[in-house]
Amino acid sequence: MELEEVQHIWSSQNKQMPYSIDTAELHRRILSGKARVMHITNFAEGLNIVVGLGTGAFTLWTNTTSRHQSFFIYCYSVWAFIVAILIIAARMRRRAAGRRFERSVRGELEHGLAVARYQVRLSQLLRWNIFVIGALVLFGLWETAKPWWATVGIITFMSLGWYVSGFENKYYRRQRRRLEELRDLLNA
Amino acid sequence: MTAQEQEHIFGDWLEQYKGLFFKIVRTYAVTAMDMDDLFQEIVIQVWRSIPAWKQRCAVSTWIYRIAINTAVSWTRKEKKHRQIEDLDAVQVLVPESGAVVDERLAWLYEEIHQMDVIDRSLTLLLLEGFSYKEMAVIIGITESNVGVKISRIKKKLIVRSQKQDLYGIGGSSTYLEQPE
Repeated sequence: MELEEVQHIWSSQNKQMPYSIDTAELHRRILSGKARVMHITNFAEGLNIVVGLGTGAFTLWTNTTSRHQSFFIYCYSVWAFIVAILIIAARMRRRAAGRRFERSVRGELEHGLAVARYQVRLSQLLRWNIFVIGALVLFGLWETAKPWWATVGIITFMSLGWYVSGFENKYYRRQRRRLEELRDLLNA
Repeated sequence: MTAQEQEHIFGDWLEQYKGLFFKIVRTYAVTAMDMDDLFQEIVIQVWRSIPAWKQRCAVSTWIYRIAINTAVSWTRKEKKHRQIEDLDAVQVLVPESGAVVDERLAWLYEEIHQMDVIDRSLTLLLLEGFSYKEMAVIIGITESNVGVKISRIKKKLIVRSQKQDLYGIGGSSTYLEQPE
């Protein structure tokens, strides 16, 4: 069989439509699809910004109104604000960079890869941040002479956070690997 | 652009180019549920792309560009190729009863499904008669790279078709469902 014949087989399907479209159902799906365009990255960024600003403000308020003020808890509040601001700046940079990619398979792929790399980096940094937060909170507890079980509770909570964030990081790495495989296919 | 204008253009495109949508969907998806899922994904992206369409290129080229990008992204998602089909689920693509199944076309789609996603995209564009230059723009690689890949695909397709000829795939067609 020659290529012309293969092309002839291909064009034979133009004569008959194998499907019809349920336009009412399609319209309903388009409307619901438009509502769920929020990307997982937006969600992760938003959550970290809210948590950072929220915990920063909360610890600052409780520390300033407390009779036993802690230097380390002040450090924690400042650190939480800094992390939230850094995520806001990174988010703005990511969104601005997203407009640079062209509308081709390669362009979309490179954009996807840039987002995946960003997700891996962000989740890794936030994972390491657990150590900083943990250390500041533990120093704060020690400074204000809190009971031993509070320390155990914080360590357990932070360990759990470290363990769960490992799954998240692996998920993003898997996504990045899949995109890299696709890029390699394109370059082959 | 107003929402009404967008709606109007979208309706026109859907009616005029539905055959093109079906071909793309069949190229990347195998099961009926996956085809439905991909079709919706493509249609939503095409809908969203309408304000960005500047009339600098033909509508069909624009739709191919959006649809292929969407299909390539879709194939790397984990939810694809579901084997168990929810027959009760409401589908957007309704199979036409009495549609004729061309066995040679089914063979061709089977061959395309065995290719990687980039080769599938190029094969689709090749069969649709796009030039190397247009393919290079849609895929985002150089024309010479397109040439190398296309010659590899052509060779593979011709060899496979010759093997297939041995088993007697001719011009036969069967009905999906016999019309009453």
